[in-house]
Amino acid sequence: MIHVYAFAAGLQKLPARAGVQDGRLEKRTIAEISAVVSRPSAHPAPGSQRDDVIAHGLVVEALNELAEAVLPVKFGETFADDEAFAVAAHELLSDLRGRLDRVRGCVEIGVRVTAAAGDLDVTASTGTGYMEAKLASLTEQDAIVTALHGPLERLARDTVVSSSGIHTAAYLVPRADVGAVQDHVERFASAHPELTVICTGPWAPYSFAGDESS
Amino acid sequence: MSVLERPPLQEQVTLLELVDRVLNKGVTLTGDITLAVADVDLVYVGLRVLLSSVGTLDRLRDEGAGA
Repeated sequence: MIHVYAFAAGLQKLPARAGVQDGRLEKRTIAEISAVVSRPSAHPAPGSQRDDVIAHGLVVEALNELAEAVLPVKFGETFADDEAFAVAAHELLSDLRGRLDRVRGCVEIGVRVTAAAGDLDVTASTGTGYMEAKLASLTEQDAIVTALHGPLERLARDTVVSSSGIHTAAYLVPRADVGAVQDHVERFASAHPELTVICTGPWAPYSFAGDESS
Repeated sequence: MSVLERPPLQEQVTLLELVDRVLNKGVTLTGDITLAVADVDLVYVGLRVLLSSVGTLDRLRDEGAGA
């Protein structure tokens, strides 16, 4: 069985770490693109799936430090043998080239903003009052999100926003601009002590590797 | 796992973010997805701003292996 971690451009060497179930990392070449794979045990130990997920992620993050561009593969993509993998990879070759070009030189920064439970609840004694209060609350939230998201979007090459919480987004940021992004998030957090602000990364560009990105 | 045994919050959040990405995002090929559910037990609680990197996970993993 072949377990696939990522596709990469400009990968000079493999990470010095083991993969899923301590499998040895191997490189496959599809045209000019590298794929990193391993051969996990056909009979994994019970309860090992959590460790497998983490091992997969750590391999991808290590690749992100060694390659010019990395496209993480979603966990769980396995193939019976090299031939089956090669067929699937060649079918995606043109698409992979485009996606690698887009993420080249960039990393992903994740930002989540949430409020404490109940902080966004709206109460009013009449229906009209409720709708007015709700509109005011949403307008305030929009202003908060704009203050955070606007500058980050301008720094980023691409952005994926989800509907979770007040604001949840992934930013595809050139490596040179990571500090500016983190500084802006920290300033925003200082200006809004009522909110929980979480900024993580830099990550491999997971949110910009698949079809879900814009 | 009891509260006292939980790893520091920053490591929990970093792990949660990593697992979210590994399981939900990335290139999808035509192979068989073998994963149904991952038994990861993590929570968000009471943090303000947190800048974390995957380097904390290596330390977490090493500590776990040495326990």
